[in-house]
Amino acid sequence: MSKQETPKKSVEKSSISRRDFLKIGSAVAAAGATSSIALPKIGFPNFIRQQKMELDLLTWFWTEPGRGDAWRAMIQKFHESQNDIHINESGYGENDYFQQILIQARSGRIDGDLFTQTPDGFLRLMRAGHTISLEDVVKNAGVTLSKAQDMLRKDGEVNGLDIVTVRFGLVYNKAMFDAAGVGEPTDIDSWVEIASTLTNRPDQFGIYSPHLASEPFTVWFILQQWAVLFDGIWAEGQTPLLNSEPVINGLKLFKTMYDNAMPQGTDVGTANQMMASSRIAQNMVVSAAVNQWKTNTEDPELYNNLRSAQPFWPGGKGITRIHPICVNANTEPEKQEAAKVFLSWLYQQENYQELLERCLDVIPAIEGGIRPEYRETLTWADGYDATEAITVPEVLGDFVLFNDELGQVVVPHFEEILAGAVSVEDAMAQAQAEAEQLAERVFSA
Amino acid sequence: MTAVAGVNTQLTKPTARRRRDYLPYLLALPIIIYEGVFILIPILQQFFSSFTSDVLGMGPVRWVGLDNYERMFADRYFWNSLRVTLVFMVGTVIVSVGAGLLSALLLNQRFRGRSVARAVMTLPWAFPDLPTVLIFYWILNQNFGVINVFARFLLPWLEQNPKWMFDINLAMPLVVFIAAWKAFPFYGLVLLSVMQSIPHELYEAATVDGASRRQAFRYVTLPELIPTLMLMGILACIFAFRQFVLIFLSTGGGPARATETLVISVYKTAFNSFDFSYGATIGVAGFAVVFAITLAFAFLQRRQEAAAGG
Repeated sequence: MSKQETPKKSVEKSSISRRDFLKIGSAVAAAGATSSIALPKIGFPNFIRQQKMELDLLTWFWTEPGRGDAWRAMIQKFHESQNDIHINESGYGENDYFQQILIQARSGRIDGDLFTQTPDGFLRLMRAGHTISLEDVVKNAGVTLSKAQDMLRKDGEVNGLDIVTVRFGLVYNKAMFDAAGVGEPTDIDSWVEIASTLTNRPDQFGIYSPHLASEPFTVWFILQQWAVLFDGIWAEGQTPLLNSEPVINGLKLFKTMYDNAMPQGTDVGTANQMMASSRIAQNMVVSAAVNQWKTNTEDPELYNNLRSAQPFWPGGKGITRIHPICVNANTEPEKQEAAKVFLSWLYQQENYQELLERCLDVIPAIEGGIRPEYRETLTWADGYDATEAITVPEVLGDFVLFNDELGQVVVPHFEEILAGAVSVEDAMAQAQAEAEQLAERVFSA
Repeated sequence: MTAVAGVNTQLTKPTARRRRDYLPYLLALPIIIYEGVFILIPILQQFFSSFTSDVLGMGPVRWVGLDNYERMFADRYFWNSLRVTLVFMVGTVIVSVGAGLLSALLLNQRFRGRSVARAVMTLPWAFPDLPTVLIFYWILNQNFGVINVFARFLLPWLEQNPKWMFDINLAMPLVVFIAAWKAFPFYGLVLLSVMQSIPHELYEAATVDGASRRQAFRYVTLPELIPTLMLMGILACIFAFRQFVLIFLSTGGGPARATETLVISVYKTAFNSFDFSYGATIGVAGFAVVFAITLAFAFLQRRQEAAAGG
């Protein structure tokens, strides 16, 4: 008997009429809707809330080997120094970062309370009103900004604080050079020869520079320096100079290196690992990249063997990029204030020096930002220091506001060149025509 | 008796009937709202965007009428993308449906370990896109890829390894191969299930009439498969047209736009060049292509039904 009753009970329990189901569903939906209306976000001051102010710091640094750890350490130190503000990690990898931020800006608001930017991206976002003045931070920290930060000003007030300045240079593995019996290049021709000498496919390669279509932002970022190697620029004002002699020479040099000495078809991540295992001898990279080869390399002696070449190319210039940290203009005012507190702490000379050292950076953004004792330990930095700075606006003209758009014009033609489908001159003549069309479109807006 | 009584009850209670008539609409409402919000509105917004100019962060959106369409028709890269899309589509359909048909014919035979073979065949289809691309990326790497061993063995006169996916002429066939490798099990399984539903008597009758195996395939199997093959063909066309992940991750549309399909072109225009309006315009052109394919399919199906009915 009991055996017969049990299933009946369960049926009774589980049977809900359609009307009941709709009633319950609508009640739940109504409760959900009203809860979001009835409980708007109220920005109580901290002493009432009795909890820490949470700030999201949006940056690509977290994914950068070495730099990510340095920032985590500094933020940990900040957390230990006070109890009111807590910084959370947020962001994307370098190759996607600017694109993601711009899409967020397009939708009206950037996600982070604080965010870092590339120099070109910063100018665009500052113009679009996504940043606020940080003059009071500079005043509170009591520091003097470098002249390079003048480009971060809007109506005379600084809207971003340079958090890492990087410069292009040629990093090489001295042990590999010594083993091959070659010294630093003295001119472009000797450089090509050295790179070829150091190449023994598929085990060892003379040089690497990004060239994959699937990494367009990185390719364009580094390709810009190849024209600077011939004292060239990519645009002047609103006039693109893609078929100018220095640009063409730069691309021809890249093609020669690509054919003779590069691991063709290799992505940036793999190439960095190959550099770490002493299978790539040279890399035309920014100074900040060296940090990734300090630890966890397959060749434990690699870091001690790294050097940067004295500038041997015409003009001896290297693109110098400042990367500001900004406070989001569209976040809550109390979060903006908290963000400024954090920045004032970070920009104090002692903390700034520590950040610079942890990041293994060499170019300070403030006067007295680097300790001489620290600088002396950087055996690889002499070439970077000897290279003359040229800024991104100087290299890209007014296209600095449309850096990625210009890159989208250049990179496909650059691929045609690498594939040997067209001559450098023909490819860049076509690119020039397209860049002129781009100029017409974007500058008219 | 109960059922009849139920019907009578309904007929005698018009208000209850009316209430029940609304029920299907009520039940369909969530999906209609979902489709409206997440599909219809974005499509309409895309159409609207294609008539505007929007340079991100550089001022307000401007109405430009048909300027974007004018630009598109004069843009050689748009025509290149359209051509690449059609080549990719045709290539993928032929290879994937063809391989699917062959594998179905093979797996329709009786042999030892057939069920294991069927399970193994589905693996490429079950594989997520990202690992698939990574596997092929390493197989086809110019310096370290295992394919170079075979290439050197088969083509000993090669002085250096081919560039594979970075060769303008090889990139498209390789991308087609990867996409087809991933897709053919689906078509194979569907065709296999259709083959197994063909009455065995038809084959017996064909054998009695003296038909060879090839003739049995030509006159029995193929006619039974044609409606399914047509459906597979149209599905393969649409899947190939929409293919983004495999192409983007393997070649990024390169080298030199050799694999830049319309979908890739829309993405790069909108999210790399930040030209959202023009990206939307290319998207509208893509929508028109898919719409035309679907119409062609509907037309062919109707004609076939009419022929069958007649």
